[in-house]
Parts: sequence; C-alpha cells; structure tokens
Amino acid sequence: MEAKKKVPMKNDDGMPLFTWPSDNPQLIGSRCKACGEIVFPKRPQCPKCYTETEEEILLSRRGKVYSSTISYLAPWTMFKGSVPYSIGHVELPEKVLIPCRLALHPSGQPLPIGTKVELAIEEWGEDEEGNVVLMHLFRQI
Amino acid sequence: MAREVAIVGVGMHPWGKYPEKTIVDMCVEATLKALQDANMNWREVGFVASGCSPWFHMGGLLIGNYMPERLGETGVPVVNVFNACATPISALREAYNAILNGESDTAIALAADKYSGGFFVPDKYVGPRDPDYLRFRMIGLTNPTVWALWARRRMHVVGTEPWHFAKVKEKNSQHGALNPYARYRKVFTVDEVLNSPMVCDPLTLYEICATNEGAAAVVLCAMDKAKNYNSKPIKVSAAIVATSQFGDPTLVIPYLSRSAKDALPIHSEIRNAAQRAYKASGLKPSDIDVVELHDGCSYHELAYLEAILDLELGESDRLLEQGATTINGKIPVNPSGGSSSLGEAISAQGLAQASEIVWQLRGEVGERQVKDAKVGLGQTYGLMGNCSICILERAF
Repeated sequence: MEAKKKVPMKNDDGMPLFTWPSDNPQLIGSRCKACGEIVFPKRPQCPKCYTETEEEILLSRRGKVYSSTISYLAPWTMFKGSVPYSIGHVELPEKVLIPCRLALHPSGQPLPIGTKVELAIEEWGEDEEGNVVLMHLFRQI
Repeated sequence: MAREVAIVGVGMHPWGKYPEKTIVDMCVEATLKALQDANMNWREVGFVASGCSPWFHMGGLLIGNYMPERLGETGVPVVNVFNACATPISALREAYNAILNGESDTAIALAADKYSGGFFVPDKYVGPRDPDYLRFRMIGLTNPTVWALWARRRMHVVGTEPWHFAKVKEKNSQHGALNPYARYRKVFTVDEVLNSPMVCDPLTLYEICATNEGAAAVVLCAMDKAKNYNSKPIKVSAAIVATSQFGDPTLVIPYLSRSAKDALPIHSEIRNAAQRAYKASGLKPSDIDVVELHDGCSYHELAYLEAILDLELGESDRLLEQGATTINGKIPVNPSGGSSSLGEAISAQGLAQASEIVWQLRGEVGERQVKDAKVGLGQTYGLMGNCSICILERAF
C-alpha cells in the first residue's frame, strides 16, 4: 500500500505557518517596519499601528509557557484520537504570545508556567484528503 | 435635556430544552409576556430590535420580522442584530437608542436561541486567513480551553485555587435553585463540583455552563410616558458595547497571537465597556447593588467582576471567601443563578439578565431578592472581544 502523503499544515491562503522541510523549523510571522510589533501568522497589516508595511520574519524556536491546559474532550474530528491533548500559550523572546499545542508531559499534568519549551514538528492526524498533517507544537526542553 | 428611557415590561420563556417548540414560538411567548407586563398592545410598539440566532436560517436570522408575521403587520421598523454572546444587550442598545434619539416613543428588544447540543465546533471555512477555522484546526482550541488558559494564568498570578472555581458554582447553584426560569435547579457542593469530570484543567464539567434554549423580551418607552404602562418603571442608564484593545495580553478567541508586553490590564473589552457605561450613566462601581454577569465558566465570574467593578486582580477571590457575592452579601453576583444555572441561550442571555435585574429592582423575586436593590448591571461577553453592558436604575 502506498505510504500516506505527509503535508505541513498551511495557513488557509496556502501560506506556510513554519519553514519545512527543515532540521530547525521556525514559525513564520511578520514584523511591522513602522512600529516593530510582531505577529503570527504572517499578515499584511499591523494590528498595533494599522500600517501595511509588514515584513516576513522567522520567530525564535525557544520560548516559555505563559499558560497551559489539558483538554479531555475533542469536539473536532481531527482531534478525536488525540485525547487528552495539551494546549499552551507560549511567550517568545520577540514579546509575542502564541496559542499552540504543547507536547503532553508524561506526568499527564499541564506544564507549569515558566517552563522552557522548544518548537517541534510532528504528525497530527489526517486531513479530509487522507494526508498525514504535520503540525508545529512546543515541547519541554 | 436628553430624553430618558424606561423599561416598562419584561418577559421570559423558561430556559431549558423544548423540542416541541420552534425558536419563533418561544420568542412569541416571551414577547407576549413582556407586552402583558407592560400593559402594552403589540400595535403600540414603535420599534423592534431583535437578537439573531445564527443556528437557524430565516427563523433565527430574521427573528424580529417573524413577530409582525405572527402578531400583526403594523409597519413597525425591525432591526435584527447579531453580535455573538453580546447580541442581546446589543439589541437592547438598538431599542434604547431608537427612543433616546426620538425615532420612537416605544420599542421592544427581543431575542431567542435554541442550541442545546453542547460544545461549539468550527463554523464553515469562510476564506483565507480565517482565524476561527485555524484555531480549531491547528490547535484544537475550543472555547473552554481558552478559558482554562486564562484560569491557569490567574492561578499563577493571584493564587486562585481550584476550590474557588468550585465555590462559584456552589454559590450560583444555590441561587439558581430559587429561580423558576433556570434549567438546572440542583444545589451542588464544592466537593461534588471538584469531583465532576475534568474538561480542561482546571475547569470541571459542572463549572462550565451548558449551551441552551430560551427567549426573553424587554419593552421600553420614553420615561415621560412610562407611568401609562407600568407603575414601577426602570431607567436604562446605559446600554453599551466595546471591544478589546491592542496590547492586552488576554488571549481573545480566535486570535492566533497577542502582544506580550503586558502594557494593558487584562480583559480590556470589559474594562472598556464598563468605563463607557459608567460615563454614560454618571454612576460609579460603588453605586452598583446587583450584578448579572456572563459566567460561561466559574473563572469568568471572578475575573469579569474585577474588570466590571474596577477591582484589583484577586479581589474577587476575597469577596467570594467572605460570601459577599451571595444574594445577602454586599455585592450580590448572579442572583438568577447565572448561565451556570440557566444554561446559555447565547442570543437571548443578556435579555434574561435584564429581566432578572428589572425584577430585582422592582422587588418581585421573592426568596432570591437582593434587599433594597436600586441599581443593577448586566454584562455579556461576545466572541472576538466584544463586551456588552447595561446599567438599569429604579425610577419609582
């Protein structure tokens, strides 16, 4: 049987969310040339000063947990086989907070706030076409 | 001098599951109850503002237009409003403004919702860069998981314990047990709440409100005509909507990044709406005698109360510990039992709050009466950082 195709999760306009393939993948965000504010995913307009001078930047691979939780229910088919799964709000050195998946700690408990984490790319369920979707998450260092 | 606006009638269809009724049936019942309470005939209604329900096609989105279809085609102006969970008070605001600006002497705000199926799932994909689709698909970020992230941040910052969240549910279940309009009227103890299934740490099943069905209506008129309809008019002192401010680190659904510079206090949309409401009414937080706020889960009651009353972070925990937020406390919160006891009929919830406050200010709620309440505040928070607040005052 033919191996299933592995595809990185993309922003819905086809824009990649992270650099891939890569040994050191990074999230792709944008920085406002006028005020310096950084956002993820990449977008055309700055949410702080409203100018349209965004430039693409690659975000730091390491950050720390700002908050975290573990969900024991999955309302969305792609997550049905993944319960429980962990979600965090991760603070990057660029002073941006990103809601994202966290690797579940073997203890089964949410990672404490302040825990140092690093970006990883993992297989994350199947999409509607049966492809294996690759998705970013943060893992405790 | 600016016109004053009064509420002269309120009516609710009880909250619960009603498979035998349509959303329009339920809305008509609430509307007729409110008109009866106001001693007003449908033909006298000069403006209709309705809260739309997104789950039905015409019956939900054009629900305001179904009232003349059912009750009489009088030519009345109808405006249908959708603003997520901030929908009902946004409809109240439309009705209030129609009288305030002289467009009409009478108006009705009405709304109904039927969504008792549990968890929300992603809506249809609407096109590139749809963050609501992405947050579900990329992260599995349901609404309760966002609340859980807020809750665990609060535990870290101010030392709130799981016990506090359970205590909020215990308190609201004691209030809801006294409310004939509530779907859940069982009293729960802290231990029962803590031992209910974990949904997303630290929030347990009993701490998260159920989606639900309900309908409510509020009849308004110019204050100088109020005594024609009701001997106990209630003044609308503010009906306000505001959104979040960039720089607030609170994760707003469905945003995929926030600024981490901690420049602004959290829950900025609630602080923005509250400050606007105080400015519009000339009142201050210490003037509020009773609060009906949006307890989607127990966390909200603690955090939102601080934003509404401009308290220090963590102060709600102390108020809870002292029993200050019970019906007999110094600042009663959710004497109706809140969404925790009613369940949440999204597009109608704020009008249930307004109805409860009106009854409280009139002194008509029996066992759950807040003693000598003169000023009440209702608040609902809508998806994407949209907060609505109304302040109502006794005017008799």
